[in-house]
Amino acid sequence: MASEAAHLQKAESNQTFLETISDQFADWLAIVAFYKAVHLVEAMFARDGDPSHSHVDRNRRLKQRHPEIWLQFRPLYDASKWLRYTDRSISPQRIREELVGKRLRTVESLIRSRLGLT
Amino acid sequence: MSARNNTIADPIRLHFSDQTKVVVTPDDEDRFMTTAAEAARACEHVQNLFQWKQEFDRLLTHVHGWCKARNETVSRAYLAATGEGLDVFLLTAGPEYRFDFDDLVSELDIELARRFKNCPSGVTHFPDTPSEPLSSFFDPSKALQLYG
Repeated sequence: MASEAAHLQKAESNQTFLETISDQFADWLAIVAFYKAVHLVEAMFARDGDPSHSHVDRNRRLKQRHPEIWLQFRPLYDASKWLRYTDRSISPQRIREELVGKRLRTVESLIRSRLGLT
Repeated sequence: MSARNNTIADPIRLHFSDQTKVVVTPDDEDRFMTTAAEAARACEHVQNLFQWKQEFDRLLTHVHGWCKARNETVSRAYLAATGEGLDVFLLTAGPEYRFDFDDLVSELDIELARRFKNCPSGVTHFPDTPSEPLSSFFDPSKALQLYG
């Protein structure tokens, strides 16, 4: 089981990568943003010593126990999945605004606040 | 088991600890023997299944009504069993990914989880474009079309 610190470090690593992704690879902005959010959520679960076991398990627990985080996390999950499995795209500007600037930032803020890291 | 006086006023009683033998006679006369305890469990199972079916039907009706109330945004909706369990797929009109629909979909997702606890499901939305194969996400031939 990865520790809270390990998940936060991975989230930071994803953030560093996120900042290097150019508009040419906009899909990856969404995908990396989602993975960063996953590590933030897992850091929160690790604090309670209760890691999730799958996307289904993580989503279910967020929905039931942390609906305010789920409201922000679900769009990251949905959009990144759609971009992974279809040949469609979303403009880099929209991804940066909606997913990175709005959803991911809010997920991070909520979780850091819960972990007392703000 | 108390089945001595089998009248409306005196119903047959099945107890989960009763090992009394029971002979069951189906319509096709293919009789089999079990115990009152097993018969009681079978009754409970059917009752649970009946309640689940009722809840499932209410879920379908609820999603249909939700989509109908948002018919300018939702063009089609499906319920499919996927590797992640039951999933509601909302297909939105137009080619663009509808970020402005995200909060409503999330609220529906949370509402379904709270109201239909025995039918856990997730809700996803994506643009309804003719070129987009639904099979990227679910098997349309095995899905229920709830709307559109």
